[in-house]
Amino acid sequence: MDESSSVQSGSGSGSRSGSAALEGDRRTAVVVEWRALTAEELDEALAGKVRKVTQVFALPRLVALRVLQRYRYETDRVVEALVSRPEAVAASVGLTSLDELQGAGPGSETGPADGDVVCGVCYCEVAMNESHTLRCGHRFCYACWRIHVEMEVREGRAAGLACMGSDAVSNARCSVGVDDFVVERFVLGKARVAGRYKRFLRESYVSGNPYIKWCPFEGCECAVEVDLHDAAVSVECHAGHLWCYRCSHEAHVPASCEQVKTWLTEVREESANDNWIVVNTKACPKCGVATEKNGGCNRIGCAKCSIHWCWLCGISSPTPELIYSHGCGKFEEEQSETIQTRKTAAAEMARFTHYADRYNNHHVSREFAQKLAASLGNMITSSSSSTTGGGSSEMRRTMAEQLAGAAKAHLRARTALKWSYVFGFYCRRGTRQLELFEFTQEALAKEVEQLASALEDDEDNVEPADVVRLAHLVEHRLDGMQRTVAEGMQMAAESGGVQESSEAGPRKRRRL
Amino acid sequence: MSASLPKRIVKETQKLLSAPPPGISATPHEDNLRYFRVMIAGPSASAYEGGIFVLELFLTDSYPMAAPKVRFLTKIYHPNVDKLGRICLDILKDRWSPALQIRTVLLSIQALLSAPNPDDPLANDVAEHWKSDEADAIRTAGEWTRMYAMPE
Ligand SMILES: [Zn+2]
Ligand SMILES: [Zn+2]
Ligand SMILES: [Zn+2]
Ligand SMILES: [Zn+2]
Ligand SMILES: [Zn+2]
Ligand SMILES: [Zn+2]
Ligand SMILES: [Zn+2]
Repeated sequence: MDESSSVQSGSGSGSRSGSAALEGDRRTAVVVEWRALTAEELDEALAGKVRKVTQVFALPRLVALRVLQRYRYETDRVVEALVSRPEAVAASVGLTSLDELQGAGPGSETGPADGDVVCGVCYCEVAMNESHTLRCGHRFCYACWRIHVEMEVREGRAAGLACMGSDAVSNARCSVGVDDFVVERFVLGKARVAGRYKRFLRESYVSGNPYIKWCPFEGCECAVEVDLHDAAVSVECHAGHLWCYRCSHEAHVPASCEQVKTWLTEVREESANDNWIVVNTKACPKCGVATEKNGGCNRIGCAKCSIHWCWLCGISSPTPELIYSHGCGKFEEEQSETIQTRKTAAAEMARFTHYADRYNNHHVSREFAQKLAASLGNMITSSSSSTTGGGSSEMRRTMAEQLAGAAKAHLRARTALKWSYVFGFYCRRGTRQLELFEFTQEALAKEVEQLASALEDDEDNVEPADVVRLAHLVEHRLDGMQRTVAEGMQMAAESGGVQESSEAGPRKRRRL
Repeated sequence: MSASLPKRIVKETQKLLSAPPPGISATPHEDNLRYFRVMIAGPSASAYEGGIFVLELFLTDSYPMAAPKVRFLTKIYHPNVDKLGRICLDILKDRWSPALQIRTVLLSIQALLSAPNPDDPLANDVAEHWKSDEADAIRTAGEWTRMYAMPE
């Protein structure tokens, strides 16, 4: 896979995975592999680990799960420990021997089929083969087991499901975990209970596994697995959300996790001071009509006077071309030169406002980009399910895929563009590298606006070939920007934003 | 209400009436067989000695999967009982097991009167009193017992 791109995704709705070089020296860069996981894939992965342990040692499923939990789901370590020091493994889950781990004991099994027993909970007399006991010998009827298990699962106990008995002398609750029979019959046997149970296991699997994290986007049930713990890598979940594995924030290349944190605090403070206000409507520079930004594109076509103008800097022109081609992203030091003589604080504020404005604009545009990518992504599914006409539906599908691909490129670029202003803000002024970076940033901004405009065109006017070409340009430019960053940028001393790379020493890696 | 009382509750009630634990009585309400009026005699050699403490005990629909609800009706000065008579006892909460019974619960409450546990308090001011000056706290508990738990 291409090292330099932060997000590589498979085609269409297939599996998403990728690899990315962490920032820093290109030759020593650490390459991180990652892949997106759905809820089902998480369940499968967990079940696979349990199977691996229970096949080697005949452990009840839930015992294997609890042991795996203790060993951070590292199957090899569990197997190795079970071979070399079973007592330690048993102790880690509150048991004393391999026998206990394996569920052996006086009570075990469902017992002889004949004869009646009295259930220890409902006091009913039931046939022996309608009752069940664990290795502790506490025997209860099936009906009571069912109610007990359903209540426990409802209250969030999954791997911790245990006997409902108590010690005859101390009244202490019996802590013997349930066996596979109980799991299969009373948990997995009923869809609703099984669903909850799996969900709780899934949650403890993710929270107890340093190599997996949930997608931070609200309502998303996807997760991402990486092979390098705590890697600051941009990942993409199955729902198309882009985020940083390390800080669980929206993807923020080229800015570092630390810069993002510092920046967001700064923005919060400034907006509290009222120095920097989020603007959603602006007056048209020519006719003055209040204009609301209703798309991701920063080129505004005035509905009243039909002039074209730039949302960011207010430059206007009768044709859209000039708006696309003007340089708008770079902060001109000269522009603030006069202010500089007045007061450094004011100049600093002007500088901050410049970056914050662009950050905010791309932030708003990014929201549109996200929606657009999602809706165009859905169109692939709907176009493939429409059954009208063979050839033309094939064409529609191809077109939908092209548009969806371009919309994703747009979202990626828009996201990077947004954070590039944060990155730029923290760069040391006046270096060659910064000049190169800002040149690329500016070019990217122009190309992204063109792509946005093409994508947002009326459905009938959309020219797929055009869109694909623009998306291609944007992706190349984005790569270029990341290459510039990877080649090393000098950060301003106070940024606190030294690029996080391999300084933490060798980090633990594991195969995906 | 009492149309279909679970077999378990019927059996427990019969046993409580025919063979009550020493110093304890529990009688179901005639209109609601899940509601019990309980009396516990203060254990000897405790600050509650000589007192008769009235409690109410209710078996919810989830009983025995969920613990019974029990509360003191008689005012009592005890670190594990609050002003409303609610009791801090592990088996009434997360340590409940469906294999436990009304009988076990009442015996545990009786034991709590013999051995208050100020380290797991429900009434914080009382617990503080208990920890800073146990003798004085026990004296207060004795006064309360005479005032509220000993009808003339
Ligand atoms: Zn039963
Ligand atoms: Zn029964
Ligand atoms: Zn048991
Ligand atoms: Zn997601
Ligand atoms: Zn991050
Ligand atoms: Zn206008
Ligand atoms: Zn502009």
